[in-house]
Amino acid sequence: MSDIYFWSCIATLSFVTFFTRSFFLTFGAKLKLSPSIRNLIQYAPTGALIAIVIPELIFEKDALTKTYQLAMQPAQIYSSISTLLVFYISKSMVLSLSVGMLILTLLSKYLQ
Amino acid sequence: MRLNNLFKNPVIREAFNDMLGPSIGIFTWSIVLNLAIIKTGLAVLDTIIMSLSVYAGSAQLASIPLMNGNFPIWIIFFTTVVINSRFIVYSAAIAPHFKDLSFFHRAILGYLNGDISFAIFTRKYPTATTMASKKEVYQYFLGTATMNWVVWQLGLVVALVFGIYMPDEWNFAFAGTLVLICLIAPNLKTPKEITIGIVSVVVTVCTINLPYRLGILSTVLAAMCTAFLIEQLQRKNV
Repeated sequence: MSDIYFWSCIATLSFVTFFTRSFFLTFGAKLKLSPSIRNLIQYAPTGALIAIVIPELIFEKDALTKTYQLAMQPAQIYSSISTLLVFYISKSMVLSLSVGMLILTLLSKYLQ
Repeated sequence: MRLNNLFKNPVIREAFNDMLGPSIGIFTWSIVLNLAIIKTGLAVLDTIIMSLSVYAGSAQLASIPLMNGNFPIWIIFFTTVVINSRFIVYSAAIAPHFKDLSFFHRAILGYLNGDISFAIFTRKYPTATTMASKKEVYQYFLGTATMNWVVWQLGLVVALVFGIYMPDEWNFAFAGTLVLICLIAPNLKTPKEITIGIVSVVVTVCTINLPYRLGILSTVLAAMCTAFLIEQLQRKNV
């Protein structure tokens, strides 16, 4: 990561924070968001987050071809499933993360 | 306003008070997320600068693998706009309260608008037709939003101290993925949402090797299209 690239990213990300959070306060003060669009927007983050999480669980990046190859990561998968279950039951993020990390640590030690 | 007077102001005191409980959540979430960011190998100074200027938990976390992969800026821009899209909806909800303020002033208020402080603020002032004076609403918003910001940055300090002593073998970077999973979980409850989730997983798997991680865009569009189709079907069957 070069310096110029890093600072461009920071500038871009800061602008995104500013742009999204102030959108209807500033840029879109005269716009009206239709209820149906507003309704559909709420599903966008689910899609984006799933697209970011899945590669960490069932893919491996091939160093040579730089493409993703299907490869199950059992420790990561079991850790994720237990985190999800504990979160649904307890609603506590701290507890779910502790359980998830514990299972990841144990499995990555003993699964090999 | 002197700091002393600030704490004597009843509205701001109430705002701080209402934020006390939720602050525990903001604080732990900030520690976990910033630890995950540090463990991806971002330098300490860079992490601090990012936290102060970007101030966007999940978007920060999601952008780091993209930055490490040297993805084009516009991919990073698009991905984080999508992850932050909920804030666009939030900003629509608070805009009526502050429409008389100057452009710069409104921009600053929007920038400070966090998830938790937004929830606390709208619980007290749900609509713009409140009986409260404009000044009171403004002070309450500033109180909750500022506390959200300060508590978040305190979490970063703790994470930086912990991060030095935590061995790399702990695999803490994966905690970031687990945090994202906890963020997805509340959106996967009804059959409709679970269907959207399954479609998203399938589309992600099928589009993973598209250039520039365009798979993220494809998955977002697929999730929204699925929601749209399910709603159309439900309407027909009623």
